[in-house]
Amino acid sequence: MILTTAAWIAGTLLSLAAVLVIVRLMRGPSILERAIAMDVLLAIIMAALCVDMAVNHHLNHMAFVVVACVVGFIGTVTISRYVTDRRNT
Amino acid sequence: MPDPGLWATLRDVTTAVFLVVGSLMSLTAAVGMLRFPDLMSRMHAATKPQVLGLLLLLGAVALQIGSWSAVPVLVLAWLLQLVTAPVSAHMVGRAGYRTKHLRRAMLVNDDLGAVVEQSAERERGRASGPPAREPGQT
Amino acid sequence: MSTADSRSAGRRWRHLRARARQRRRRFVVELPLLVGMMLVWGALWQDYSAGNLIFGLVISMGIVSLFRLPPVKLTGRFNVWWALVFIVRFVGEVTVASFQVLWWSLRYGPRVRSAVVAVQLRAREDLMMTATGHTMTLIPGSFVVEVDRGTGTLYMHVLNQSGPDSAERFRRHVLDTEKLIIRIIGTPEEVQRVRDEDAGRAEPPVQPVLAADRPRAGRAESRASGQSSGRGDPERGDPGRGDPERGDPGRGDPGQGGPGRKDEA
Repeated sequence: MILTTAAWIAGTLLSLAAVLVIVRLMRGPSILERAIAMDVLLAIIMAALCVDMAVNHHLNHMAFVVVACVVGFIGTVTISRYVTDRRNT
Repeated sequence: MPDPGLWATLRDVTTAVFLVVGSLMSLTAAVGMLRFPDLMSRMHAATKPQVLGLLLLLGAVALQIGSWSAVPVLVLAWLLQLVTAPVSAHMVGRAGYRTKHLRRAMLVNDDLGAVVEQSAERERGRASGPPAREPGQT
Repeated sequence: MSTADSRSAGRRWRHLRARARQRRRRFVVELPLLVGMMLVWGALWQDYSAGNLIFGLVISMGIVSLFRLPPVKLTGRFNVWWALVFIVRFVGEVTVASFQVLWWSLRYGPRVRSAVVAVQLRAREDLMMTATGHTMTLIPGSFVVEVDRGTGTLYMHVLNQSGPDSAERFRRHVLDTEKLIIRIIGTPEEVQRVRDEDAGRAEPPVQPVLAADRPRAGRAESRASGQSSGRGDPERGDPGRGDPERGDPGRGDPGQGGPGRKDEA
């Protein structure tokens, strides 16, 4: 019972967060802002998966959470390197 | 453990608190992303509260699974985030600083400005003028 | 004839022995990494049976020999007690700072002011600088923008700063964190220095003058002098390090020595 309530509250908070991040994603003046907004969006998805795993007592999404960490990292680093290098040369 | 029912309730309450606070951290990131004035201050909000958020959410998962065999993979996920988050923050922040994404008016103090300006000037000189003297080589 | 033969055979034997010793030493250096990767493999499969672990060990040995990296020079020390202190303090600071960022984003929002602060560390090795910068970046409210490996300086962007006072407070925070990390994995000399500091026999590293404190004219002048002659070698420590009079322009150039450029070579 209490878990269901908590899941609803957490879901609301996460949806609100996702909406705000998408606003920043659309508005973000530069590609770097969009890159970190995508990173945050990925983190919110990971958080949602964790909430699901905790409420429904399973570990099925764990592989996704681990992989998402690494993939988001590689994407952000690639974009920022690309931005830096274009200015330098 | 006097009463298994009490124990289960305690566990569920802790899980619920972890879930709500962990999600609140995601909301913190989003609000900061939206409200802070420039790229660098948005970075602070974006990457860091998630460290605590993910810790709490993974803790909630561990409490609900309730077996030690699940703990290593949860720790692994958190450690991966601990290792990767600062590196991407540094890379984005560095790129932002170098490409003048930060608004100088937002800084009360800038120790790096003179250093970066100077290196950019030297690079320009090297690109256009006669070959500049390499520092430390002559 | 036979003596020359035996001598060359002896030399070859010594040579082989030396190579074997070298290989063994490298294996010992890489052993923690291999065991760590093996455990990661086990955690990913959530299966710690001997077969799975041995397969993970084989894979990690393949990875280590395929993608060669310079070995990390560890100091050989590890203090468990201070590591526990560090973990507790770290989680506490992350918690407090996360809520601080939430508060600042609601209270100040677009009006928040930040600063880029140069912090002169005690240690100069890559490992200590990385550990300190990494920890400070994980604590919300500050992250590393640039690193000067030659002089051991971190340039950090700090949120919600009001002026020189808060910059000084932040520097003290970074140095405290470094002190704790030195106590865990620092070299014996660094540990001795930290003990001396605690006993009042040594001073913490001299910090460069804040850009906000520096008079405008003096800043322009020092920049000019820095361009003509005051530059040291950015990779090795230059003689003017830590000297507040010469300030930042005399230091190594983080654009060349920073981690972002290094891996292009």
